[in-house]
Amino acid sequence: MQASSRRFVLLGGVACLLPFRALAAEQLHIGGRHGSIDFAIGDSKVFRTTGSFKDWQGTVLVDDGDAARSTVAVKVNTGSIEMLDPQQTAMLKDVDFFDVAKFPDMTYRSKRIERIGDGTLKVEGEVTLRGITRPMALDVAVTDRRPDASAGARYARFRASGSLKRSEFGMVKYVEVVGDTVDISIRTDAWR
Amino acid sequence: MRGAEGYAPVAKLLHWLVALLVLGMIGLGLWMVDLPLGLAKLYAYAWHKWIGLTVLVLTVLRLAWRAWRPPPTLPPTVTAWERAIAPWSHGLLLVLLVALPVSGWLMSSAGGVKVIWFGLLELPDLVSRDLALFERLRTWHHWLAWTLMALLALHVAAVLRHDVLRRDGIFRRMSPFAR
Repeated sequence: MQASSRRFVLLGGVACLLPFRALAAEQLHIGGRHGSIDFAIGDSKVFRTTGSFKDWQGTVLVDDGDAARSTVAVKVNTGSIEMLDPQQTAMLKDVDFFDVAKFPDMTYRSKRIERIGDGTLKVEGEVTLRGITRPMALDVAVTDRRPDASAGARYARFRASGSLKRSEFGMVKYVEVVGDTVDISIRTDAWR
Repeated sequence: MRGAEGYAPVAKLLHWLVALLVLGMIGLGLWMVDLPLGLAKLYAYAWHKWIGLTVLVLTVLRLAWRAWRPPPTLPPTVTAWERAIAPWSHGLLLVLLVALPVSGWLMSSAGGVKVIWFGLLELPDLVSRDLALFERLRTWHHWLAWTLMALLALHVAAVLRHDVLRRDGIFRRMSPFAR
């Protein structure tokens, strides 16, 4: 890997919020077309299930500049949640959980990005879900980086993982049986 | 009437334990699928998996026992055609008692639902999450269950035929109360 790529920076979000140095940044796109957001209810002994979001998109910028000033932003269509069982999917879309009629989007915005290793990043950010905003950190691994990728082609692969407590977002139904911790796993291609 | 040579106490214990659990599983399985989503359903599915895997363990023990101590020979009152099909029907029952829990375990893995046996032992996922595979496995599990139910009905009918119609003492071989 080149020295420049080790100075890999993840940037994203709205262009007007970016510092002028980021003009040299690569604006990349991530989303459900080339990736997946999966989640698992992680601490139940009785029922430990998984699901995913099918429709989501985000913006990432890659720069060799200042990581600390970077941002990444993702928007998830909560109505695209999919579980194994149609009954579970319907329940999660309903008022006790995502309440998709009232809150059609869930967003993630980074607050601070720190490079912690070769191709690994720590992203601290905020999730907004059901009108409630809470911090969530993501461990990100970047692989297969192709700085010379043409427009519309894959630039890199990202894998990110983090966890949150669903009760903090007011989703407390069955929390004592099904568990509170939700592990989130994101895999996506980033393309130009 | 002199009874036929009976099964060993260990074989009887395993047989009746599995019989009780399987009857419970059939009832639970038929009841739980139409439950509305709620705690009752979550617990019903959890117990269905836990008991099903218990049946798998007991069936493996039975197979090991059978390999070590083959079943007693059939009494002379058993006709030639009955003698010919009895090992096949017993063998098929045992195959189903392995295939049902294994297909259920595969289903759970393909569906992305982790099995933690009685909340104590986390079992490995046999396959990775794949909803199309889950649907195929569900069809298999369904038909295997109905095949088992049909075969169990025949199994019980055969015992009744022997012991009610012919009174040849076949049931005593497996009776928990007979020596």
